[in-house]
Amino acid sequence: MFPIYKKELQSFFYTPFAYAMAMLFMLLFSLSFSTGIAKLDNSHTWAFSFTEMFYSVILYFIFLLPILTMRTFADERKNGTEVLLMTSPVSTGRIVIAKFLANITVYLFMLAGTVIFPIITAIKGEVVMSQLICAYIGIFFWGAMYIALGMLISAFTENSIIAAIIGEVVMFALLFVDDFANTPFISQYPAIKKFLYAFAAQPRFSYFSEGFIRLSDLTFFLSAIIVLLIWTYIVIEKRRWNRG
Amino acid sequence: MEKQKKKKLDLSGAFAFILAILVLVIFIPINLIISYYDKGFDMTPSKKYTLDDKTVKLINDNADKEIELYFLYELEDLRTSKRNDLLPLYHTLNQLKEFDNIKFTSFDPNENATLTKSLDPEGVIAPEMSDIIIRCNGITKKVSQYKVFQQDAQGINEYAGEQLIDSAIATCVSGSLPTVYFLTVMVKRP
Repeated sequence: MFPIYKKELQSFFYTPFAYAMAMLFMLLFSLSFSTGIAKLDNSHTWAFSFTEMFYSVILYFIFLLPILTMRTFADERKNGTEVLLMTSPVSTGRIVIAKFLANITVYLFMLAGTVIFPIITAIKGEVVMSQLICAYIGIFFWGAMYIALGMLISAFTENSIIAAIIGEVVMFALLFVDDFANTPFISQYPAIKKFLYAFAAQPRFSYFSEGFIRLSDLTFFLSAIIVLLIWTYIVIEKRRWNRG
Repeated sequence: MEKQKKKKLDLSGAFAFILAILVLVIFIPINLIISYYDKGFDMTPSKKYTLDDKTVKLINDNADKEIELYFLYELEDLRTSKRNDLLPLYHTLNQLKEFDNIKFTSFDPNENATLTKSLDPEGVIAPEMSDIIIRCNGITKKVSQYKVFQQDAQGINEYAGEQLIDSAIATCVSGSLPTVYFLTVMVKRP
């Protein structure tokens, strides 16, 4: 499993890809940060919420994470390296996990760059550390779930651009599930509203960002990651069987 | 070769689809069970998602008295609201309703005008949407929605709902309303 993980990481870090992604992510994060500072009033107290910043960042996620995951399996098929991967002694499950961990490593690299903003704030003022750590935990799990989703979409197609576009559409739809559930039309049917709400990630992230970690939210994100990875495994394994 | 094939699952055709659904079906009850026995880790500096020991003690000390708590808003709508700052209030009320001596009712005053009227037959407290009404020992106290969030010395909005509910319960269970005295001083010029 480790050679595949290493190969994947090399494909990210031996090219400008991971660095460009991290830079873009930091640029977008700094935009939110500067907007937060710009909104400060003239009072003596300067207070802004990192939570709000994370919320804006989530919107950027939808554009960045599918770009990160689009090549995971689609490029292997396009370049014809999928056959080599399939015939390797490593099992499909290990291939999926190795690729997932490689994507997670890049994602952590992207997130690590953003730590500079709370550090700047801490030097000049005060940061509620417990809340910030919770927000980071929340954003990590949300991102990990989206990575697993992006990998599944990538496993379906051989065109990485199509994988990215489908990924963006699906992630965008998932982001607004709770808004859709709160519409007056859906609110007429409490059972449907409750059902839709159960799949919404944003309200779960709200708790993390507010500094409240609930076991049910952790379970939701972990379950979603596991289910999506198993589905990816099934898709790859099915293709292997169809090839014979 | 045949032995090796037997070990692997045949994931061709409809079986793959059934397996995918099965995986989802396994995880749904797990999530439901954990949601039912949910546990939270309150990392906020003011512990605003956890009931204060003082509040718990107050309610337990008055276990023999029935405290009626009315929330003039649907509690579930509070949870699904886009306003994150309302989540502490949802958790305070949700924890309070677990007490045996607290009779909790949440309702939309627009849909149940009779109940709203019965809370204030003399028109003294004038309950409004999202207010919290506490009744015990024949005393009724209102916690106004406008006071649930209060600005601290630095001008930052802080959640004060639990303290307000706590003091309202304390007043109601004591059985007597605090008396406010107005002193008028007359100064005679020499």
